[in-house]
Amino acid sequence: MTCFMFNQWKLYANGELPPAESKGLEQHAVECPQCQIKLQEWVDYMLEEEFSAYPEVPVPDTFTDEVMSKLFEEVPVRTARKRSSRTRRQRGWDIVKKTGLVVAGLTALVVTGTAVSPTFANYVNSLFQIEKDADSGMKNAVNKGLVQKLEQKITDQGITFEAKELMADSMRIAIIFDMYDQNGKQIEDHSMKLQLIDSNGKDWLAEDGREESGSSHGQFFITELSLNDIFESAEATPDQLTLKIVPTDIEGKTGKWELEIPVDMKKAKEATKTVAFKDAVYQSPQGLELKLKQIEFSPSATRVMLDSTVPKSAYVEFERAVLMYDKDHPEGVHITNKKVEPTLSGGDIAYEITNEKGEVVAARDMFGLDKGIAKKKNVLYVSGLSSKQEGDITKWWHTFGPLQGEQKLKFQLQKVYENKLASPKFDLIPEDLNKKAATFKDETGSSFTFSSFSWTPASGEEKGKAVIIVEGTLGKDVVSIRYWYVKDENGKTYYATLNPESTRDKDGRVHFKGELVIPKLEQAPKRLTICYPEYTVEHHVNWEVPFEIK
Amino acid sequence: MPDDRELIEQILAGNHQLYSQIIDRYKGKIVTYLYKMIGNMPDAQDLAQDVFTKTFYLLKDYRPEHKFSSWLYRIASNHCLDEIRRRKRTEQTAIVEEQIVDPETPETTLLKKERDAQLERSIMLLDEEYREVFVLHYLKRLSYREISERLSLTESAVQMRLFRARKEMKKSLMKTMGGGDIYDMLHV
Repeated sequence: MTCFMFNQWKLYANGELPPAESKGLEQHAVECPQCQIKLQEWVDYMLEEEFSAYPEVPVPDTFTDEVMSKLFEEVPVRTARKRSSRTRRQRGWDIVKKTGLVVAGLTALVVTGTAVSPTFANYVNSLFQIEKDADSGMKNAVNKGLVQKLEQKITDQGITFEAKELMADSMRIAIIFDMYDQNGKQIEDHSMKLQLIDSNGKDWLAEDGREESGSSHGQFFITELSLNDIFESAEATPDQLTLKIVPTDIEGKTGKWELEIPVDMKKAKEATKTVAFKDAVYQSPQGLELKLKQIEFSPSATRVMLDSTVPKSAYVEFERAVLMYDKDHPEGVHITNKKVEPTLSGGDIAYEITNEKGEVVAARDMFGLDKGIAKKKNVLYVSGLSSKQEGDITKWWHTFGPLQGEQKLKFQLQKVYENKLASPKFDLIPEDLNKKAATFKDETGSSFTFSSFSWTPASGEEKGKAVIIVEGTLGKDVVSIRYWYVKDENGKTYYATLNPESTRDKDGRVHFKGELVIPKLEQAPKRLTICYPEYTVEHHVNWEVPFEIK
Repeated sequence: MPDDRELIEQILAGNHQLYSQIIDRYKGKIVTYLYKMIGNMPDAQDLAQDVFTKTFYLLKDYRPEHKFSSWLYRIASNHCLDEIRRRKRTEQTAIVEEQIVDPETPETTLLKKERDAQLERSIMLLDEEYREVFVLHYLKRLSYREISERLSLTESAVQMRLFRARKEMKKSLMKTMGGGDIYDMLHV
């Protein structure tokens, strides 16, 4: 099964998606493992391109021998090549790197203290005013007392490393520290490795080997570790952890500044309430099975965990027009593509969490739904995966801002979305649209008015492009039409894209307006047939699961 | 000639000498890239040596379903990023000291100002989403991960936005400065 959004990545990578769609797709990737892979493939492609962009500079013949002898400790074949003007600082880094190599991948490397070139700092700040503080969830965790004063310091070679404060929530750990010389002068130039060790000696950061880094934070330094993607739940988090901070390099020096900070996760775990549901299963008449497994409430975030399954009967063959880019068509070519995909998904649902007063405290809606008609509230995007496929089951983790305090809440599933096949055809003479708009009705009860056609011929790298204004009212329960294509008078099919602005009227009908864009259309068409192969409908659901945070 | 995957299989099986073929294949691209990023040849070569050494030790983690070159380029670009971040920190103190002891000549100051102004204009021309990552990465020197956490994006999306930002910057610098190299501009 491939994700619905696959075809979009080519457009995204080529900068051909409108900004809103582009952002939407990036957000989708946060929760779609398949698209994460797809995006990585495109990043790799761009890397290849970047590494091949410049004419290669000549590299001395001895280069290879030097690396080989470095690796296998033969007699060094140092040549007369002038050594770079490396400072003491950089030589120090060499040492770290050499000793560090063996453990690379075993520990997370932390570089702290982000420096801003002073020549840029001023205008950057004045121009962009970037929010530097932690998100509301993190602040809340500190307010809830998940913070601990530390008085640990260690001095070696005249340099002191001092751990000042620790914040430990079940979803993340942050530490504030300082680093200074004997005159009290702060040292920004340092790097360090982090280990998070449990009572059995297991280092939980060992596996992913990722690089962590922190940034200066007011007077001191702060570095943060997200636990969300290390432990599957608060219960799975060990009670006792030891955060081992090993500065590997301070101002080019190596020394012994290791600090071990015991992290008592019990308090954080106690502050995290988990509501586990038994048999909270919803079976939609269309076949989607949703299982509400648990909701976790930590001071820094709320996490809803759902499982979904889709029956085999929900798999349908969709045919869509796409722009394909490959070696033979680096500029892109219009093709049609057949894919078997489920018409239902655990991601395509809408739900709310409401309190006793009936206020909505968190809400989530289908990805890709136009924001004018989507209901979202308190959604928090955290890094790490938020869905995973295990056999037939897809696991979903949806994160929201913190919900705290004893209260009675209700999980309300409101909608299940479904994709349906369609085959409307609207025949137009584009030229005529500028004189008179054309209105069509189709079998879904939707009506569409096409007006104002324009075609821009090719210029430079840009091939021709046609734009038609479309306005319409969708049929009852129809919420969106994601894919469009057109055929010209010769029967050739082109991919087309519509980025609508949608609203709902008092009867719940969706009205939209937008530009239907047909990219890479080399000649002005004499006739056009506009089609859409599928559309999305909403099924209203009223499935409630009351629960209580005690 | 054996392809990359076959070579790696044999290197991992113990035929270490074959690694020299990998180095020969990619040294040109790696050194060129690092030279573009760092701005001087001796350091680019030193760093390239580090990249190949590091890659050798990481070979066991290489997954053949990925293209080897992409994997190597990823290591090189991350390594380079770390080095630039470290250097920026060193440079900051250097600049401060320099200003006290040896103030810049009016000419160099003027040149720098002009260049900064051009760069600033190009940055302002970027779409908001690109501008944000560009500034965080190149001027504030945040890592992909830091930016991804700050903006709630995946790291790949951050990388992709940076690729695109660079492309856009290149275009606009081409217009204003007749093709100033963005990396040269950033070696301020």
